[in-house]
Amino acid sequence: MCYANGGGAFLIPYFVALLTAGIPIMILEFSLGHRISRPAPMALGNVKKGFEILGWFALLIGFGICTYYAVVMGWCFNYLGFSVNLAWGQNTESFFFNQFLKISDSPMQIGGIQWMIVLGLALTWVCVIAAIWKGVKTVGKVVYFTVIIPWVILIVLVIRGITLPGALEGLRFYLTPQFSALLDYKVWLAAYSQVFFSLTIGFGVQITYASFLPKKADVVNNAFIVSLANNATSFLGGFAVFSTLGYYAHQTGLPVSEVVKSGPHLAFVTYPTIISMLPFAASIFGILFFLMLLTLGIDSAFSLVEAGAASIIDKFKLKRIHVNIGFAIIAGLVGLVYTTQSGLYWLDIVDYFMNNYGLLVVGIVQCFAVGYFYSHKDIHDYVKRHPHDRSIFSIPAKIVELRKYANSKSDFTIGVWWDFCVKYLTPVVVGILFLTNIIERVKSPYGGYSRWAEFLGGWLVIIVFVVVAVILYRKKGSK
Amino acid sequence: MPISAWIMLAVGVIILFGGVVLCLFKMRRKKDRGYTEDTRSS
Repeated sequence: MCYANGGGAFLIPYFVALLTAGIPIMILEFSLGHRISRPAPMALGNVKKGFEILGWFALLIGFGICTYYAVVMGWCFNYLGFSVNLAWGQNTESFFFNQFLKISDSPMQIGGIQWMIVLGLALTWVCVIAAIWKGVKTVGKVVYFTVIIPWVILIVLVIRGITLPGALEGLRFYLTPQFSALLDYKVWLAAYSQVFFSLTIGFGVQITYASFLPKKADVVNNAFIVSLANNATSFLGGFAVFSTLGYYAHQTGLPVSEVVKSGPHLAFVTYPTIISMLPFAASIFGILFFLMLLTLGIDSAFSLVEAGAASIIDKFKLKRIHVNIGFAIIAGLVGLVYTTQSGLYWLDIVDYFMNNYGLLVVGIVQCFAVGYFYSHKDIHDYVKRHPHDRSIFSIPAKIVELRKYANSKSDFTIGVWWDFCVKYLTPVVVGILFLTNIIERVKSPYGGYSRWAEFLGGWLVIIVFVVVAVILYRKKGSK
Repeated sequence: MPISAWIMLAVGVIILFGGVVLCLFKMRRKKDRGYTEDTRSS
Protein backbone atom coordinates (compact mmCIF):
# COMPACT_ATOMS: atom_id res chain seq x y z
CA MET A 1 0.00 0.00 0.00
CA CYS A 2 2.80 2.37 0.98
CA TYR A 3 4.74 1.41 -2.11
CA ALA A 4 1.81 2.01 -4.47
CA ASN A 5 1.11 5.47 -3.03
CA GLY A 6 4.33 7.40 -3.26
CA GLY A 7 6.51 5.60 -0.71
CA GLY A 8 7.34 7.90 2.21
CA ALA A 9 4.60 10.35 1.19
CA PHE A 10 2.02 7.75 2.19
CA LEU A 11 3.09 7.82 5.83
CA ILE A 12 1.81 11.40 6.28
CA PRO A 13 -1.84 10.75 5.24
CA TYR A 14 -1.59 7.41 7.03
CA PHE A 15 -0.75 9.10 10.35
CA VAL A 16 -3.39 11.80 9.72
CA ALA A 17 -6.00 9.11 8.98
CA LEU A 18 -4.99 7.23 12.12
CA LEU A 19 -5.38 10.28 14.33
CA THR A 20 -8.51 11.76 12.73
CA ALA A 21 -10.48 8.59 11.93
CA GLY A 22 -8.74 5.45 13.18
CA ILE A 23 -8.40 6.23 16.87
CA PRO A 24 -11.68 8.22 17.23
CA ILE A 25 -13.72 5.43 15.58
CA MET A 26 -11.87 2.78 17.56
CA ILE A 27 -12.82 4.61 20.80
CA LEU A 28 -16.40 4.94 19.49
CA GLU A 29 -16.69 1.21 18.74
CA PHE A 30 -15.06 0.19 22.04
CA SER A 31 -17.27 2.56 24.05
CA LEU A 32 -20.47 1.54 22.28
CA GLY A 33 -19.75 -2.20 22.54
CA HIS A 34 -18.73 -1.92 26.17
CA ARG A 35 -21.70 0.29 27.01
CA ILE A 36 -24.39 -1.82 25.37
CA SER A 37 -22.64 -5.20 25.92
CA ARG A 38 -24.09 -6.73 22.78
CA PRO A 39 -22.68 -7.51 19.32
CA ALA A 40 -22.55 -4.83 16.61
CA PRO A 41 -26.05 -5.09 15.04
CA MET A 42 -27.79 -5.06 18.40
CA ALA A 43 -25.52 -2.33 19.80
CA LEU A 44 -26.19 -0.08 16.79
CA GLY A 45 -29.88 -1.04 16.94
CA ASN A 46 -29.82 0.20 20.51
CA VAL A 47 -28.77 3.65 19.25
CA LYS A 48 -31.80 3.67 16.95
CA LYS A 49 -33.69 0.59 15.79
CA GLY A 50 -33.01 1.00 12.06
CA PHE A 51 -29.27 1.21 12.55
CA GLU A 52 -29.28 -2.52 13.24
CA ILE A 53 -29.19 -2.83 9.42
CA LEU A 54 -25.85 -0.98 9.46
CA GLY A 55 -24.48 -3.50 11.97
CA TRP A 56 -25.47 -6.45 9.79
CA PHE A 57 -24.13 -4.70 6.68
CA ALA A 58 -20.79 -4.12 8.45
CA LEU A 59 -20.57 -7.82 9.36
CA LEU A 60 -21.44 -8.81 5.79
CA ILE A 61 -18.59 -6.65 4.52
CA GLY A 62 -16.39 -8.66 6.89
CA PHE A 63 -17.90 -11.86 5.48
CA GLY A 64 -17.15 -10.67 1.91
CA ILE A 65 -13.56 -9.96 2.85
CA CYS A 66 -13.25 -13.35 4.59
CA THR A 67 -14.27 -15.17 1.43
CA TYR A 68 -11.22 -13.98 -0.51
CA TYR A 69 -8.91 -13.54 2.47
CA ALA A 70 -9.14 -17.28 3.09
CA VAL A 71 -8.12 -17.91 -0.54
CA VAL A 72 -5.03 -15.71 -0.12
CA MET A 73 -4.24 -17.75 3.01
CA GLY A 74 -4.70 -20.83 0.80
CA TRP A 75 -2.00 -19.43 -1.51
CA CYS A 76 0.20 -18.94 1.57
CA PHE A 77 -0.27 -22.60 2.58
CA ASN A 78 0.89 -23.62 -0.90
CA TYR A 79 3.83 -21.22 -0.86
CA LEU A 80 4.81 -22.49 2.59
CA GLY A 81 5.26 -25.87 0.93
CA PHE A 82 7.03 -24.35 -2.10
CA SER A 83 9.50 -22.62 0.25
CA VAL A 84 11.02 -25.93 1.34
CA ASN A 85 12.78 -26.45 -2.03
CA LEU A 86 12.21 -22.94 -3.49
CA ALA A 87 9.87 -24.53 -6.03
CA TRP A 88 9.11 -21.21 -7.73
CA GLY A 89 12.46 -21.39 -9.54
CA GLN A 90 14.06 -18.45 -11.31
CA ASN A 91 11.00 -16.98 -13.02
CA THR A 92 8.76 -16.32 -10.00
CA GLU A 93 6.32 -14.19 -11.99
CA SER A 94 5.60 -16.89 -14.52
CA PHE A 95 5.42 -19.47 -11.72
CA PHE A 96 2.80 -17.49 -9.77
CA PHE A 97 0.59 -16.31 -12.63
CA ASN A 98 0.96 -19.08 -15.21
CA GLN A 99 1.77 -22.25 -13.26
CA PHE A 100 0.12 -21.65 -9.88
CA LEU A 101 -2.92 -19.45 -10.67
CA LYS A 102 -3.06 -20.37 -14.38
CA ILE A 103 -4.56 -16.92 -14.78
CA SER A 104 -6.96 -16.31 -17.67
CA ASP A 105 -7.03 -13.22 -19.89
CA SER A 106 -10.04 -11.50 -18.34
CA PRO A 107 -12.55 -11.84 -15.47
CA MET A 108 -15.17 -13.23 -17.84
CA GLN A 109 -12.95 -16.15 -18.86
CA ILE A 110 -13.63 -18.07 -15.69
CA GLY A 111 -11.57 -21.20 -16.47
CA GLY A 112 -11.22 -24.21 -14.21
CA ILE A 113 -10.86 -24.45 -10.45
CA GLN A 114 -7.27 -24.83 -9.18
CA TRP A 115 -7.45 -27.75 -6.78
CA MET A 116 -4.26 -27.00 -4.88
CA ILE A 117 -5.71 -23.60 -4.00
CA VAL A 118 -8.96 -25.28 -2.94
CA LEU A 119 -6.92 -27.54 -0.64
CA GLY A 120 -5.25 -24.47 0.87
CA LEU A 121 -8.66 -22.82 1.22
CA ALA A 122 -10.04 -25.86 3.06
CA LEU A 123 -7.02 -25.92 5.40
CA THR A 124 -7.51 -22.23 6.15
CA TRP A 125 -11.15 -22.71 7.10
CA VAL A 126 -10.27 -25.68 9.32
CA CYS A 127 -7.74 -23.46 11.18
CA VAL A 128 -10.19 -20.55 11.45
CA ILE A 129 -13.03 -22.67 12.80
CA ALA A 130 -10.70 -24.45 15.23
CA ALA A 131 -9.59 -21.04 16.53
CA ILE A 132 -13.13 -19.91 17.31
CA TRP A 133 -14.51 -23.33 18.28
CA LYS A 134 -15.65 -22.15 21.72
CA GLY A 135 -15.85 -18.44 20.90
CA VAL A 136 -13.79 -15.92 22.82
CA LYS A 137 -12.52 -18.63 25.19
CA THR A 138 -10.47 -20.33 22.45
CA VAL A 139 -9.76 -17.05 20.62
CA GLY A 140 -8.12 -15.70 23.79
CA LYS A 141 -5.70 -18.65 23.82
CA VAL A 142 -5.04 -18.86 20.07
CA VAL A 143 -4.03 -15.18 19.81
CA TYR A 144 -1.06 -15.82 22.08
CA PHE A 145 0.38 -17.80 19.14
CA THR A 146 -1.03 -15.84 16.20
CA VAL A 147 0.21 -12.53 17.62
CA ILE A 148 3.54 -13.54 19.17
CA ILE A 149 4.74 -15.82 16.33
CA PRO A 150 4.40 -13.20 13.53
CA TRP A 151 6.02 -10.54 15.74
CA VAL A 152 9.03 -12.75 16.41
CA ILE A 153 9.29 -13.63 12.71
CA LEU A 154 8.87 -9.96 11.76
CA ILE A 155 11.79 -8.95 13.98
CA VAL A 156 13.92 -11.71 12.42
CA LEU A 157 12.97 -10.50 8.91
CA VAL A 158 13.68 -6.85 9.80
CA ILE A 159 17.13 -7.75 11.14
CA ARG A 160 17.82 -9.89 8.06
CA GLY A 161 16.51 -7.15 5.76
CA ILE A 162 18.46 -4.20 7.14
CA THR A 163 21.71 -6.16 7.16
CA LEU A 164 21.49 -6.88 3.42
CA PRO A 165 23.45 -4.76 0.91
CA GLY A 166 21.31 -1.97 -0.60
CA ALA A 167 18.84 -2.01 2.31
CA LEU A 168 19.42 1.68 3.04
CA GLU A 169 18.27 2.63 -0.45
CA GLY A 170 14.99 0.80 0.14
CA LEU A 171 14.51 2.47 3.50
CA ARG A 172 15.23 5.84 1.93
CA PHE A 173 12.38 5.20 -0.50
CA TYR A 174 10.13 4.06 2.37
CA LEU A 175 10.73 7.04 4.64
CA THR A 176 11.37 10.01 2.35
CA PRO A 177 8.13 11.96 1.88
CA GLN A 178 7.32 13.05 -1.67
CA PHE A 179 5.11 16.00 -0.88
CA SER A 180 3.69 16.22 -4.42
CA ALA A 181 1.87 12.92 -3.83
CA LEU A 182 -0.11 14.57 -1.03
CA LEU A 183 -2.08 16.50 -3.66
CA ASP A 184 -3.49 13.26 -5.07
CA TYR A 185 -6.81 12.36 -3.43
CA LYS A 186 -6.20 8.68 -4.20
CA VAL A 187 -3.29 8.64 -1.75
CA TRP A 188 -5.57 10.00 0.98
CA LEU A 189 -8.33 7.58 0.06
CA ALA A 190 -5.85 4.70 0.21
CA ALA A 191 -4.61 5.91 3.62
CA TYR A 192 -8.11 6.10 5.11
CA SER A 193 -9.12 2.74 3.60
CA GLN A 194 -5.94 1.14 4.90
CA VAL A 195 -6.53 2.52 8.42
CA PHE A 196 -10.10 1.17 8.39
CA PHE A 197 -8.97 -2.19 7.06
CA SER A 198 -5.93 -2.68 9.26
CA LEU A 199 -7.70 -1.58 12.45
CA THR A 200 -10.78 -3.65 11.52
CA ILE A 201 -13.04 -0.67 12.14
CA GLY A 202 -16.27 -0.42 10.19
CA PHE A 203 -16.63 -4.23 10.35
CA GLY A 204 -18.59 -4.36 13.61
CA VAL A 205 -15.75 -6.47 14.99
CA GLN A 206 -14.47 -4.04 17.62
CA ILE A 207 -18.01 -3.37 18.90
CA THR A 208 -18.55 -7.11 19.34
CA TYR A 209 -15.19 -7.73 21.01
CA ALA A 210 -15.64 -4.73 23.33
CA SER A 211 -18.98 -6.23 24.40
CA PHE A 212 -17.01 -9.19 25.82
CA LEU A 213 -14.70 -6.99 27.90
CA PRO A 214 -15.14 -7.03 31.68
CA LYS A 215 -17.07 -4.06 33.04
CA LYS A 216 -13.94 -2.71 34.74
CA ALA A 217 -11.86 -2.79 31.52
CA ASP A 218 -10.20 0.45 30.47
CA VAL A 219 -11.99 1.52 27.28
CA VAL A 220 -9.92 4.48 26.05
CA ASN A 221 -6.54 3.02 26.91
CA ASN A 222 -7.40 -0.29 25.22
CA ALA A 223 -8.55 1.59 22.09
CA PHE A 224 -5.28 3.54 21.97
CA ILE A 225 -3.14 0.45 22.58
CA VAL A 226 -4.90 -1.58 19.86
CA SER A 227 -4.69 1.28 17.32
CA LEU A 228 -1.11 2.27 18.00
CA ALA A 229 0.23 -1.29 18.38
CA ASN A 230 -1.43 -2.32 15.11
CA ASN A 231 0.04 0.60 13.21
CA ALA A 232 3.41 0.20 14.90
CA THR A 233 3.45 -3.38 13.58
CA SER A 234 2.62 -2.14 10.08
CA PHE A 235 5.33 0.54 10.37
CA LEU A 236 7.87 -2.07 11.46
CA GLY A 237 6.69 -4.38 8.65
CA GLY A 238 7.63 -1.61 6.22
CA PHE A 239 11.26 -1.94 7.32
CA ALA A 240 11.26 -5.66 6.53
CA VAL A 241 9.65 -5.09 3.12
CA PHE A 242 11.55 -2.01 1.93
CA SER A 243 14.98 -3.12 3.16
CA THR A 244 14.61 -6.34 1.14
CA LEU A 245 13.31 -4.35 -1.84
CA GLY A 246 16.46 -2.21 -1.55
CA TYR A 247 18.50 -5.42 -1.65
CA TYR A 248 16.57 -6.59 -4.71
CA ALA A 249 17.16 -3.25 -6.45
CA HIS A 250 20.85 -3.48 -5.53
CA GLN A 251 21.13 -6.99 -6.99
CA THR A 252 19.26 -6.20 -10.21
CA GLY A 253 20.69 -2.72 -10.74
CA LEU A 254 17.20 -1.21 -11.04
CA PRO A 255 15.89 1.75 -8.99
CA VAL A 256 13.66 0.78 -6.01
CA SER A 257 10.69 2.51 -7.65
CA GLU A 258 10.80 -0.01 -10.50
CA VAL A 259 11.43 -3.32 -8.76
CA VAL A 260 7.91 -4.20 -7.76
CA LYS A 261 4.27 -3.88 -8.64
CA SER A 262 1.58 -3.49 -6.00
CA GLY A 263 -0.88 -6.15 -4.77
CA PRO A 264 -0.14 -9.88 -4.51
CA HIS A 265 2.86 -9.35 -6.78
CA LEU A 266 4.87 -8.18 -3.77
CA ALA A 267 4.24 -11.22 -1.56
CA PHE A 268 4.08 -13.94 -4.19
CA VAL A 269 6.50 -12.74 -6.89
CA THR A 270 8.97 -10.19 -5.57
CA TYR A 271 9.48 -11.70 -2.13
CA PRO A 272 10.07 -15.25 -3.45
CA THR A 273 12.58 -13.77 -5.90
CA ILE A 274 14.40 -12.02 -3.05
CA ILE A 275 14.27 -15.17 -0.91
CA SER A 276 15.93 -17.13 -3.72
CA MET A 277 18.69 -14.48 -3.90
CA LEU A 278 19.53 -14.69 -0.17
CA PRO A 279 23.11 -15.83 0.42
CA PHE A 280 22.21 -18.48 3.02
CA ALA A 281 19.21 -20.26 4.63
CA ALA A 282 16.89 -19.10 1.84
CA SER A 283 14.36 -21.88 2.51
CA ILE A 284 14.17 -21.02 6.20
CA PHE A 285 13.47 -17.36 5.46
CA GLY A 286 10.86 -18.42 2.89
CA ILE A 287 9.12 -20.63 5.46
CA LEU A 288 9.29 -17.87 8.08
CA PHE A 289 7.87 -15.27 5.69
CA PHE A 290 4.87 -17.36 4.60
CA LEU A 291 4.29 -18.64 8.14
CA MET A 292 4.12 -15.00 9.24
CA LEU A 293 1.59 -14.16 6.51
CA LEU A 294 -0.45 -17.24 7.43
CA THR A 295 -0.64 -16.50 11.15
CA LEU A 296 -1.44 -12.84 10.53
CA GLY A 297 -4.11 -13.73 7.97
CA ILE A 298 -5.76 -16.44 10.03
CA ASP A 299 -5.76 -14.07 13.00
CA SER A 300 -7.64 -11.44 10.99
CA ALA A 301 -10.00 -13.98 9.45
CA PHE A 302 -11.18 -15.53 12.70
CA SER A 303 -11.75 -12.11 14.28
CA LEU A 304 -14.16 -11.33 11.42
CA VAL A 305 -15.86 -14.74 11.61
CA GLU A 306 -16.25 -14.62 15.39
CA ALA A 307 -17.91 -11.17 15.20
CA GLY A 308 -20.45 -12.49 12.69
CA ALA A 309 -21.00 -15.75 14.57
CA ALA A 310 -21.47 -13.95 17.91
CA SER A 311 -24.10 -11.66 16.36
CA ILE A 312 -26.08 -14.52 14.81
CA ILE A 313 -25.92 -16.52 18.04
CA ASP A 314 -27.03 -13.47 20.03
CA LYS A 315 -30.05 -12.73 17.84
CA PHE A 316 -31.22 -16.12 16.64
CA LYS A 317 -29.99 -18.24 19.57
CA LEU A 318 -28.49 -20.87 17.28
CA LYS A 319 -25.87 -23.37 18.43
CA ARG A 320 -22.31 -22.10 18.04
CA ILE A 321 -21.11 -25.27 16.32
CA HIS A 322 -23.84 -24.93 13.66
CA VAL A 323 -23.12 -21.25 13.08
CA ASN A 324 -19.35 -21.77 12.81
CA ILE A 325 -19.58 -24.68 10.41
CA GLY A 326 -22.36 -23.01 8.39
CA PHE A 327 -20.27 -19.84 8.10
CA ALA A 328 -17.20 -21.80 6.94
CA ILE A 329 -19.17 -23.79 4.35
CA ILE A 330 -20.94 -20.75 2.86
CA ALA A 331 -17.77 -18.59 2.85
CA GLY A 332 -15.73 -21.53 1.47
CA LEU A 333 -18.22 -22.10 -1.37
CA VAL A 334 -18.28 -18.40 -2.27
CA GLY A 335 -14.48 -18.45 -2.07
CA LEU A 336 -14.36 -21.08 -4.85
CA VAL A 337 -14.88 -18.20 -7.31
CA TYR A 338 -11.41 -16.93 -6.37
CA THR A 339 -9.83 -20.34 -6.92
CA THR A 340 -10.71 -20.31 -10.62
CA GLN A 341 -8.34 -19.09 -13.33
CA SER A 342 -10.01 -15.67 -13.26
CA GLY A 343 -10.04 -15.62 -9.44
CA LEU A 344 -7.36 -12.95 -9.09
CA TYR A 345 -9.41 -10.47 -11.15
CA TRP A 346 -12.53 -11.03 -9.06
CA LEU A 347 -10.52 -10.83 -5.86
CA ASP A 348 -9.12 -7.47 -6.98
CA ILE A 349 -12.55 -6.03 -7.84
CA VAL A 350 -14.31 -7.28 -4.69
CA ASP A 351 -11.42 -6.17 -2.48
CA TYR A 352 -11.55 -2.68 -3.96
CA PHE A 353 -15.29 -2.32 -3.41
CA MET A 354 -15.29 -3.78 0.10
CA ASN A 355 -12.51 -1.47 1.28
CA ASN A 356 -13.24 1.73 -0.63
CA TYR A 357 -17.02 1.67 -0.45
CA GLY A 358 -18.25 -0.84 2.12
CA LEU A 359 -15.97 0.06 5.03
CA LEU A 360 -16.02 3.80 4.40
CA VAL A 361 -19.83 3.87 4.21
CA VAL A 362 -20.09 2.00 7.49
CA GLY A 363 -17.55 4.38 9.05
CA ILE A 364 -19.45 7.48 7.92
CA VAL A 365 -22.93 6.22 8.88
CA GLN A 366 -21.67 4.87 12.20
CA CYS A 367 -20.24 8.30 13.12
CA PHE A 368 -23.52 9.87 12.03
CA ALA A 369 -25.56 7.37 14.07
CA VAL A 370 -23.60 7.73 17.28
CA GLY A 371 -22.83 11.44 16.79
CA TYR A 372 -26.42 12.52 16.29
CA PHE A 373 -28.74 9.74 17.47
CA TYR A 374 -26.97 8.10 20.37
CA SER A 375 -29.10 8.06 23.45
CA HIS A 376 -29.09 5.94 26.55
CA LYS A 377 -31.51 5.54 29.41
CA ASP A 378 -28.64 6.37 31.74
CA ILE A 379 -28.61 9.95 30.39
CA HIS A 380 -31.49 10.69 32.75
CA ASP A 381 -29.59 9.18 35.67
CA TYR A 382 -26.52 11.14 34.63
CA VAL A 383 -28.49 14.41 34.65
CA LYS A 384 -29.65 13.66 38.19
CA ARG A 385 -26.11 12.91 39.33
CA HIS A 386 -24.50 15.88 37.50
CA PRO A 387 -27.08 18.70 37.67
CA HIS A 388 -24.48 21.36 36.84
CA ASP A 389 -23.21 19.78 33.61
CA ARG A 390 -25.13 21.84 31.03
CA SER A 391 -23.56 20.16 27.99
CA ILE A 392 -25.80 17.13 28.35
CA PHE A 393 -28.97 19.15 27.70
CA SER A 394 -28.23 20.04 24.10
CA ILE A 395 -29.63 17.24 21.93
CA PRO A 396 -26.63 16.88 19.59
CA ALA A 397 -24.50 16.57 22.72
CA LYS A 398 -25.94 13.17 23.61
CA ILE A 399 -22.64 11.76 22.45
CA VAL A 400 -21.18 13.56 25.46
CA GLU A 401 -22.77 10.89 27.61
CA LEU A 402 -20.94 8.14 25.70
CA ARG A 403 -17.68 10.08 26.08
CA LYS A 404 -18.27 10.49 29.78
CA TYR A 405 -19.02 6.78 30.04
CA ALA A 406 -15.75 5.96 28.26
CA ASN A 407 -13.88 8.39 30.52
CA SER A 408 -15.46 6.89 33.62
CA LYS A 409 -13.93 3.53 32.61
CA SER A 410 -10.55 4.88 31.60
CA ASP A 411 -7.29 5.89 33.15
CA PHE A 412 -6.83 8.87 30.85
CA THR A 413 -9.72 10.82 29.47
CA ILE A 414 -10.80 12.04 26.05
CA GLY A 415 -12.08 15.56 25.53
CA VAL A 416 -14.39 17.42 23.15
CA TRP A 417 -11.92 16.75 20.30
CA TRP A 418 -13.37 13.25 20.16
CA ASP A 419 -16.96 14.57 19.82
CA PHE A 420 -15.73 16.90 17.07
CA CYS A 421 -14.00 14.05 15.21
CA VAL A 422 -17.02 11.72 15.43
CA LYS A 423 -19.65 14.32 14.56
CA TYR A 424 -17.86 16.48 11.99
CA LEU A 425 -14.27 15.79 11.02
CA THR A 426 -14.29 12.04 10.29
CA PRO A 427 -17.62 11.90 8.39
CA VAL A 428 -16.80 15.02 6.36
CA VAL A 429 -13.26 13.97 5.39
CA VAL A 430 -14.18 10.36 4.67
CA GLY A 431 -17.40 11.50 2.94
CA ILE A 432 -15.51 13.82 0.56
CA LEU A 433 -13.02 11.07 -0.32
CA PHE A 434 -15.87 8.61 -0.81
CA LEU A 435 -17.83 10.94 -3.13
CA THR A 436 -14.72 11.87 -5.13
CA ASN A 437 -14.07 8.19 -5.65
CA ILE A 438 -17.67 7.52 -6.69
CA ILE A 439 -17.41 10.28 -9.33
CA GLU A 440 -14.16 8.71 -10.55
CA ARG A 441 -15.89 5.33 -10.90
CA VAL A 442 -18.78 6.87 -12.84
CA LYS A 443 -16.25 8.26 -15.30
CA SER A 444 -14.33 5.01 -15.76
CA PRO A 445 -14.58 1.47 -14.36
CA TYR A 446 -12.10 0.32 -11.72
CA GLY A 447 -8.74 -1.04 -12.85
CA GLY A 448 -9.60 -0.99 -16.55
CA TYR A 449 -12.05 -3.89 -16.11
CA SER A 450 -15.25 -3.98 -18.16
CA ARG A 451 -18.39 -2.31 -16.78
CA TRP A 452 -20.07 -5.69 -16.57
CA ALA A 453 -17.24 -7.21 -14.47
CA GLU A 454 -17.20 -4.14 -12.24
CA PHE A 455 -20.95 -4.43 -11.71
CA LEU A 456 -20.86 -8.16 -10.89
CA GLY A 457 -17.85 -8.04 -8.57
CA GLY A 458 -18.53 -4.65 -7.02
CA TRP A 459 -21.92 -2.99 -7.13
CA LEU A 460 -23.92 -6.24 -7.18
CA VAL A 461 -22.08 -7.57 -4.11
CA ILE A 462 -22.83 -4.32 -2.23
CA ILE A 463 -26.52 -4.49 -3.28
CA VAL A 464 -26.79 -8.15 -2.18
CA PHE A 465 -25.23 -7.29 1.20
CA VAL A 466 -27.71 -4.44 1.74
CA VAL A 467 -30.64 -6.76 0.92
CA VAL A 468 -29.33 -9.52 3.23
CA ALA A 469 -28.73 -6.95 6.01
CA VAL A 470 -32.36 -5.79 5.73
CA ILE A 471 -33.60 -9.40 5.80
CA LEU A 472 -31.53 -10.18 8.93
CA TYR A 473 -32.86 -7.00 10.56
CA ARG A 474 -36.48 -7.80 9.77
CA LYS A 475 -36.23 -11.46 10.77
CA LYS A 476 -37.46 -11.90 14.31
CA GLY A 477 -34.86 -13.04 16.79
CA SER A 478 -35.37 -15.90 19.21
CA LYS A 479 -35.95 -15.10 22.86
CA MET B 1 19.06 9.24 3.93
CA PRO B 2 17.74 12.82 3.67
CA ILE B 3 16.75 14.71 6.79
CA SER B 4 13.02 14.42 5.92
CA ALA B 5 13.34 10.61 6.05
CA TRP B 6 14.92 10.79 9.50
CA ILE B 7 12.08 13.09 10.62
CA MET B 8 9.50 10.58 9.35
CA LEU B 9 11.32 7.81 11.18
CA ALA B 10 11.38 9.83 14.41
CA VAL B 11 7.70 10.79 14.08
CA GLY B 12 6.69 7.18 13.43
CA VAL B 13 8.70 5.79 16.32
CA ILE B 14 7.61 8.50 18.78
CA ILE B 15 3.88 8.45 17.89
CA LEU B 16 3.43 4.70 17.45
CA PHE B 17 5.95 2.97 19.69
CA GLY B 18 6.07 5.84 22.19
CA GLY B 19 2.27 5.85 22.32
CA VAL B 20 2.08 2.11 22.97
CA VAL B 21 4.71 2.29 25.73
CA LEU B 22 2.92 5.24 27.35
CA CYS B 23 -0.46 3.45 27.28
CA LEU B 24 1.03 0.22 28.66
CA PHE B 25 2.81 2.20 31.38
CA LYS B 26 -0.49 3.87 32.33
CA MET B 27 -2.27 0.52 32.38
CA ARG B 28 0.43 -1.03 34.51
CA ARG B 29 0.26 1.83 37.00
CA LYS B 30 -3.49 1.41 37.19
CA LYS B 31 -3.12 -2.33 37.79
CA ASP B 32 -0.58 -1.70 40.55
CA ARG B 33 -2.89 0.85 42.12
CA GLY B 34 -5.85 -1.51 41.88
CA TYR B 35 -3.85 -4.29 43.45
CA THR B 36 -2.89 -2.06 46.38
CA GLU B 37 -6.49 -0.99 46.89
CA ASP B 38 -7.68 -4.60 46.84
CA THR B 39 -5.07 -5.57 49.38
CA ARG B 40 -6.19 -2.79 51.67
CA SER B 41 -9.85 -3.70 51.39
CA SER B 42 -9.08 -7.30 52.27
